[in-house]
Amino acid sequence: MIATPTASLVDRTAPDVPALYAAHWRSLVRLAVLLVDDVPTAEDTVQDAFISLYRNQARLRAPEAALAYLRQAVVNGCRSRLRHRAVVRKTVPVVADDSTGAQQDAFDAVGVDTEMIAALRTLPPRMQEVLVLRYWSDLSEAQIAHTLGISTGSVKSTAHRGLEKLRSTLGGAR
Amino acid sequence: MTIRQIPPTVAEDPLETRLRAALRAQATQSVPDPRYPPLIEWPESATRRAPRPPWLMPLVAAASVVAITAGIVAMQTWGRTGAQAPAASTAPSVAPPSPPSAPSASTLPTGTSASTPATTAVHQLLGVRVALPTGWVVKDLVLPGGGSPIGTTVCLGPGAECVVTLARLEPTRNPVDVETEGGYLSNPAYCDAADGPQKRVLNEAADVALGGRTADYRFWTWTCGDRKVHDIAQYVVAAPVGYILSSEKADAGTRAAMTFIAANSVLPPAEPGGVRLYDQGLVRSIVAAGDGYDLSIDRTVGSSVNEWTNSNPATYAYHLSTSALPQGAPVPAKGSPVQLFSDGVKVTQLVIPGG
Repeated sequence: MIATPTASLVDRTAPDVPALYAAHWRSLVRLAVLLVDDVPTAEDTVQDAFISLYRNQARLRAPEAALAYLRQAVVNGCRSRLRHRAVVRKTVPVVADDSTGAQQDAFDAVGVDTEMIAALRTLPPRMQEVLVLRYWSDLSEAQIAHTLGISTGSVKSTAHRGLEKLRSTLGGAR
Repeated sequence: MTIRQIPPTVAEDPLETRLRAALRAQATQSVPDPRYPPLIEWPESATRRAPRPPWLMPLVAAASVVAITAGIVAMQTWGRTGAQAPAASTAPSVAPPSPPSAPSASTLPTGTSASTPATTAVHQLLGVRVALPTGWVVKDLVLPGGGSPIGTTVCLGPGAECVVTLARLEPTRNPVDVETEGGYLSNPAYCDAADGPQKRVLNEAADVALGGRTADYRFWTWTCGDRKVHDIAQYVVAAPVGYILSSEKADAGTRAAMTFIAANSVLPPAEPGGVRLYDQGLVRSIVAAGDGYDLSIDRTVGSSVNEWTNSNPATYAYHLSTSALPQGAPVPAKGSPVQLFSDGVKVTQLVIPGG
């Protein structure tokens, strides 16, 4: 199984990838940054997804499927990079990053709910993906199921457990 | 036309509202509106392909029939005259190798009832002596994104079609997962959810031989809502140096060819002391030892913990060094399900599914 979603790749009309890039780059980078918590990595992931789509555009089922393909590629790419990062963290010594504090302040300054984002980061990756796709991308359960390759029942239960874990982490906060 | 889901009309849980707002603020702060996409250099080699002319496939099919007929006639002629068939240009000068430990018939995955095809070529690929059945060739593999997520990959198949891939696993690139189509951690999606309910069935699971090494064999069938069927078969040698032989077009003929390749190819031997790249099972014992703990598991089969089957009475032992695991990695309890990922030397990730 190749990393990007092959299921939707069959001989059909090709989409206008550069136009899609212009239209959806920002939203996809935002999706990626919510999954990997790092803008450069998010941008790399999204760029890889578009290159992948470009290379396979002639085999895409329909131009309308392009965005779903990109979303799947971005989610898969983010997961792959997170796992790679976990491996690197074990082999590369951690150096104190002075920018963290400044970044934290900046987040606070623009009203980011850092407590909620921190709680979200404690959830398993799959749970984070479901919640981000549900509450950031506003996808339906069926769309999330398609993106993640799981059943809608799993989406429903994962979202439910994720919210309960968030509620518990935030001390019953509402 | 962009279809955006209408926000739920029922009253939303305040926590959901807060989460939605937090995500929106975080996303907007990280990637502000004025930020524009960087210029991208689209790969020249991937320019749009012209649609295939409608007459091409019938022409190719007709040419194939002519070629096959000519081949059969030629073979019959040689048979009548008792002459030896000349070696094909790519044929090896020696007989196909016998694997050091050829799999017994009972452990081989089921193929077709067709007779075993003769080897026409033996290639040295990725450190493997690969024996291919008649008509099969090695091709360059083009993967989305320009690279394989699991390691260097080559494509095998009859004619121009790429139906089987052989990859040398690089577990630091993507963790190996023998229970997932493709052999690495991913979310395979063979069906379009918009087409309706889909079904995924694990038809076969067995330990078999691939090139003289033990491999986890899996054969799945996906049935999509639009009634399309996808057969996926794969052999994963999940110990260093690891390999995967897989097909997403695994009809009976392809599975027979894979069986042939598995039985007649030769992989490099397992690295002494190498740790299995992936394992999953139920914890049978856990004991503190050295800088971590010793774990023994009953190995299970199945990609979702809800589907795990545990018919194997053997237990498998691992030592987990806490310094090799990510900080805060969970410590499983006796009886709990676990997935172990290793780099071939040590266990580097431990996952408690659903934990």
